[in-house]
Amino acid sequence: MKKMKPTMIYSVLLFILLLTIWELVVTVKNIPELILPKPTAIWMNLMTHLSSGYFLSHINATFIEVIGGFLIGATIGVGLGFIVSQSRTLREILHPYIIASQAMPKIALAPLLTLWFGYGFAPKIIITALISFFPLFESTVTGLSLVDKDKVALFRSLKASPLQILMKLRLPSAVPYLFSGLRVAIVLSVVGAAVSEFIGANKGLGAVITTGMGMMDTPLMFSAFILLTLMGIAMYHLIGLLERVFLKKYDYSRRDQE
Amino acid sequence: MDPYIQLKDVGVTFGKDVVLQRVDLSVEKQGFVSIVGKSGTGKTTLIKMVAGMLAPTEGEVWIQGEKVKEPHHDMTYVFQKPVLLEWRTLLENILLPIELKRKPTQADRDKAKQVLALVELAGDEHKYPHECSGGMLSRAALARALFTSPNLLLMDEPYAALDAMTKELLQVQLLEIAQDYNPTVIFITHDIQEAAFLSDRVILIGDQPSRVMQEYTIPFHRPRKKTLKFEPEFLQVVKQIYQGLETL
Ligand SMILES: Nc1ncnc2c1ncn2[C@@H]1O[C@H](COP(=O)(O)OP(=O)(O)O)[C@@H](O)[C@H]1O
Ligand SMILES: [Mg+2]
Repeated sequence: MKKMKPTMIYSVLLFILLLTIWELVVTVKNIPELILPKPTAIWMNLMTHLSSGYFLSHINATFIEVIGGFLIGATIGVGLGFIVSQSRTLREILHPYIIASQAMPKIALAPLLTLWFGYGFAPKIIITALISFFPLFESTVTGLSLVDKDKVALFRSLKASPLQILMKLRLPSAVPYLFSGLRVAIVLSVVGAAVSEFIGANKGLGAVITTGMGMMDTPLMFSAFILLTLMGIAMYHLIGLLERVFLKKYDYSRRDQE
Repeated sequence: MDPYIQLKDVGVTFGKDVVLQRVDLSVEKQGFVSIVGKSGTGKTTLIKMVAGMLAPTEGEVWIQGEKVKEPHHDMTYVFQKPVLLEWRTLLENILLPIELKRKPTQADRDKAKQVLALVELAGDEHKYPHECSGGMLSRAALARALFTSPNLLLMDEPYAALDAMTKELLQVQLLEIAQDYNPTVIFITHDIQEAAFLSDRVILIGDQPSRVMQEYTIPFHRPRKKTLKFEPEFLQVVKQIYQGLETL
């Protein structure tokens, strides 16, 4: 922790420096606010709308989509990953579908889903779920199949049954992989929710960005963008916190070396 | 009477590499045999076949008059590196073999603690592997092996990673345990002094591909004391094996 401190100060200083340069460039070059607002203007905008409560319902909507989609996608991802890792035949049958659905630009489904499910939460949650499904599916399959050979040999030498190997070896070994999948998925969920709000939504931070565009209110677009970024960071750290609670027994450093 | 373990004309080939060829070896019940050979000669390969974890390409391995097809029920294998589950404490790791058979009782836990104390890990039972040094992990893996008191103990260079003092301590302990309930032991090492100190017989493997090159009977009766290592007769035996290894 102590070693981190000077670098953290430098990070903050760098941030302030970059904002100052931005502010100066916009002022000196007289760049119109519509193209690039000053950081101070963005800050004012953000503060005004936060204190008026304008952002509240939008943050709320995006949050519901992120959490709802993430939970559904993660559950299905882990579940299907588990089933697929248990059967080689199933894995082979499903393989082309999995590759195809992974390659598929899921965001591009948003207009179609809006057509089918209307302008409410449903299409956004579906997109977010589709997006968070993959990291978890992948990490579950990887975690359950990439088990240390020596540990498998140990269990075999102790005459463990396949069920015991699954419960006492494969599942616990997969937990760190699951968490790295969760971390990727949560960040992607925020992206998925925001982008799906670009199409047919009047609530949510993504919708605020399109509204800002329509009203030529560039500072508003930046404000919503900042809130989305903060939401992503907060979610990422939430998973990180859960991971630390769950995995305090695992040794990260050693695992990284292997 | 048939020997407890018998390798009959065993050969192992990996792809095009012939690692072992025409290996004949037998170990009597409750015997303590060490296998010595240079690195890469196929010692691990050999002991894994006895463990039923690797099938020979040629020949057969027999234990107690039965052909080995899977790990023997009364066997414990000590791996070359300590294989511990990082999500379990040392105590929980020791209990794993029991847990795979039935629910561990308080008596099991007490016994596990005793075994941990035996390898000088008393007080460390609730540590996770990442909180332990390499030597502690080796000792924990050993404790797990001894916990079930198996009648067949297969050990693949279990002490190779330990410091000299811990190694000495564990050698003496292994002798005491062997004295205590008399398991059949195959012990792999590249330390000739260790092999001579522990075993009834030392078997040298080598050549290309490897086979049994020499066999030495160790003439010292049991129980053996630590001081045996300094006696001229002992040093003479060590020297003899050393010269045997040199000529390979
Ligand atoms: N599963 C395997 N596949 C291919 N080659 C192997 C395998 N296991 C061991 N070998 C080779 O067999 C030889 C003997 O290995 P090993 O039995 O581990 O030797 P030792 O334990 O005496 O150091 C080595 O050359 C090694 O590369
Ligand atoms: Mg080896």
